[in-house]
Amino acid sequence: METLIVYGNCQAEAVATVLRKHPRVQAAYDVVYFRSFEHPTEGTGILNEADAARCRLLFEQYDAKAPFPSAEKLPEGAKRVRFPAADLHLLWPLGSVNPANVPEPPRFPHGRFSYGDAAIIRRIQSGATAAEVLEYYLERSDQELPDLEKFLRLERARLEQRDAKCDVKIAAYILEHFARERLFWTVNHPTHDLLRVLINALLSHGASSEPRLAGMTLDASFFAECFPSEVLGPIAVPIHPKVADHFGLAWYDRNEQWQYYGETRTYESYFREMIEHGVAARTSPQEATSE
Amino acid sequence: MSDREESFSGVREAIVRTFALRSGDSIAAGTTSADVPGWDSLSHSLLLMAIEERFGIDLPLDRVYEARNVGDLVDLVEAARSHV
Repeated sequence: METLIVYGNCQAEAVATVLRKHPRVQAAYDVVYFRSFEHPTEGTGILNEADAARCRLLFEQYDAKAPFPSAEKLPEGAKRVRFPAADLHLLWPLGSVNPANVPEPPRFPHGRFSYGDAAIIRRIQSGATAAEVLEYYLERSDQELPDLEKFLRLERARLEQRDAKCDVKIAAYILEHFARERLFWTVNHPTHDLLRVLINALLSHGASSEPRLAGMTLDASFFAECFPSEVLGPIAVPIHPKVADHFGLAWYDRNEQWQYYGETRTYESYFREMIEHGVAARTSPQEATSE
Repeated sequence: MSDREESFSGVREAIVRTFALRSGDSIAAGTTSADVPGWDSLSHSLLLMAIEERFGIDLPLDRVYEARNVGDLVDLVEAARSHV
């Protein structure tokens, strides 16, 4: 059987996972995921020579720094469809690397708080106590938010310029829908609603050379039946209320219970834990990173 | 301090702030995103914001995502400052 290779980050893995479940795709292809990044516990991706030689269709996530490295191994007739990562920093404008975060497999292979917050990190680095950082964050972090309209302008440019290098386009959909529909759990983890749009666009492009994909679309009921839990939703990073207000997020609930690795957290409890984790790492890195 | 040195200093300051670095001592004109933990395509937008705020300028949107290193960012700042 021919292969359909999906190359890219965790979103590409989600695309492959979803496609494998669809009866028409199952009947036509072996779906192979080829990781473009180094996973903290699983290492770098390796593409089997035989899988590459059988490739009929390649869904390649565009990444200027990690282009598909095995083009010469593909057969001549293989069709390549380049797609953009679906991401949006706009809802988390204080997002940052978290220096206290370290992989803690098996439960937290990417760490407990892989999505940092610049306002929190700066306060922790300044020597404040956990209680002081939390109070500051809840009461005064508004002042650290950037000009959100300027940020929107930059994000629009980023998404559109990346789209220009891809066959599949996603920027217009994201920018048009993010305020009225929930499209992201984190900056780089799209919801099923957005994943579905992306996959359907991939299938549509693939169908131009692959009649077996013609007319194929995935609807919400397919996702609900095959994936009762969100594929990329083990964690939902809380959104700052001022950001939600500014962009008029119709789906936002200030009292939401945010998903956190099979549990839930309130806005306050999520940040309290993140702050306590960061302060503990500052004072005693070894203790902070042990289970 | 020359204008270019001032631009470089401001860009370095923005990098330190955006990526929560303890120091900017290792930042040079040839520094690329690969050299700074957390500097990816997403956080690049945050860095651009910080640079714009630092200098009170609007960077050229058609060029800001093509910058290859800190020196390129300084060039963009210099060009924008000359139009203020």
